[in-house]
Amino acid sequence: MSIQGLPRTSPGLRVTGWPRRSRNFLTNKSSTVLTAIAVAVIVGLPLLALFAPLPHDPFRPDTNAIGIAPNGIHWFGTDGNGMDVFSRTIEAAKLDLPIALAATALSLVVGVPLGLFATSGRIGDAIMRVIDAFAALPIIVIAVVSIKLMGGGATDVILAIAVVAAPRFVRLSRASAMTLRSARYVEAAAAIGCSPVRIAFNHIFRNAYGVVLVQATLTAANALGTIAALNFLGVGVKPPTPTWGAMINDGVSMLIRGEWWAAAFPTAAMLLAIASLNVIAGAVENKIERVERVR
Amino acid sequence: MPIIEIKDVRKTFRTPQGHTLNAVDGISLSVERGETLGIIGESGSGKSTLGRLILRLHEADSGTILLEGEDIRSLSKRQLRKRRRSWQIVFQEPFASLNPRLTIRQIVEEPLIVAKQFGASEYRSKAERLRLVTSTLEEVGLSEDFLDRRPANLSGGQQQRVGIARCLVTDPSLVVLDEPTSSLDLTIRASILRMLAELQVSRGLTYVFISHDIDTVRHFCSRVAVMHRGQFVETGTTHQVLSNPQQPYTQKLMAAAMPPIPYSDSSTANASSAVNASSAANASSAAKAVSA
Repeated sequence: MSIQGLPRTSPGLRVTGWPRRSRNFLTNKSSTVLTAIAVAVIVGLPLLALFAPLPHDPFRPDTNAIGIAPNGIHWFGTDGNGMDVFSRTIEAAKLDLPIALAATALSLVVGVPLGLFATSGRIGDAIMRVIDAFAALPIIVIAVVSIKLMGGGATDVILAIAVVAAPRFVRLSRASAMTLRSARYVEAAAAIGCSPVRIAFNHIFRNAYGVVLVQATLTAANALGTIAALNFLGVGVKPPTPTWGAMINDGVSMLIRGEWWAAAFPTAAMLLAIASLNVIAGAVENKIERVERVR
Repeated sequence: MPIIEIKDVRKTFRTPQGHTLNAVDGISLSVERGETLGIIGESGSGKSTLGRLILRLHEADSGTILLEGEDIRSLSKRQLRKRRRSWQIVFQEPFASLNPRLTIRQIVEEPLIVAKQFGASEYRSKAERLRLVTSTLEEVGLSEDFLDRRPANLSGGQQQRVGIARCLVTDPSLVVLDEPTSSLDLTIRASILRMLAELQVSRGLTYVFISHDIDTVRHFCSRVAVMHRGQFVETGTTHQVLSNPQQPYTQKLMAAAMPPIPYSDSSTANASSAVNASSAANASSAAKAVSA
């Protein structure tokens, strides 16, 4: 990807007929279809959990149906408590995906302005040292400890993940701001009297949001994994509320008896969601690159 | 009262190697309302830095800078931003000075929005702002069709016209032209210069014209200052300085410039009245002669 917003020295230097770099084996059309599917998964799964009628109550254990293999009634089988795995896998999307997206959004909202303004001065340096310190700490340990300390609900999980993810956005937007600060149009903006805030958002961020957006989708994918890890460790959302991580944890003990389905289906759902977010990240990157080339 | 009055202004840069560079080394000058002061010098002579110091786009190390009687070095950042609408600059690289993500309309409208934020009630209505943007674009020779285009879809000359529209839209009194035409080809250069000369008359503008091109300065400026290593080596009316240079550096600079253009009538040009149409026409005929 070309460096965002760095103006070419002369419009006459624009290269025409630049070969389209194929970033994967997929053709243009099928990658559009893939992107549509990915968006459908990310948006559709939580909506399905919210509005669609689930075949079974995801919270009600059925003592007559413990550890049943997938069949016509229980499509994904039942877990060790006799709860329907299919219903719980869908129900979990209602919590896992919004938490991941909310945590990403929060870390964006906090991290990007910090990065845009931490480019110089004593305060900027201080911010960066704090960020460095944060980055040096082991992520999962901090998350576990802080969630335990805070009590452990969905909001605490969001907060913990946002705090862990924010440094990346600070660095990324700071790096762009440092590059673009010396751009001539930023000087021109100062010359017409734009405020530092206006320059940061209207001129610098507008030319740097692409990389941040790609990073955001990747962060959301990462957050999904972290949420699952937290729930797997028993921190975060309390049972019996289904989450993919907690379901995998429950299912692992059944694996030993050869009852694979209770762990396999939530794992597959999680992988599908993560893969979808990665596909979206790729599509965003591709789109930006195309815009870049048009200019 | 002169519109620009600066005294003993200095600016030192520190190079990465640890040396100090006196970019502007004790310069004093004054510019009267409505005139065009040309500043010529080779690359690195400090002329662009001087232009930025005048508008406090760089902070001077010492000296006083009065614009319309106001000591701009003592203004707060906020007061300075409020006054910027009156003191503008046109940059050398037209494409680089336009945000590639914004439309022409957004670019030209932005100074009005900033002025509105500082309480300029005349720019409060969106329709009024659009009217001003459109009429200013028309003044610089761009039709309404350009409103929704982006800088990359414009030619170099059109881009520079947008840069000029952006600086004129808030009706400034002073414009620093930092080599506004040096990245444009000759025919476009002539038409932009002619337009700038016309705008100066119609809007009563004062120009500080920074250039390394002696021929352009000859046609465009009423007074000239020759700059070398951060200092003025010679100042005077354009006619005095360029027809009869006194200082060895000015003579060297003149000798290094391109030879006189054949068939041009520059010797008969009235150098001190740069704003009249004849000198602009002269610039264009000179350009034609070169491109022919």
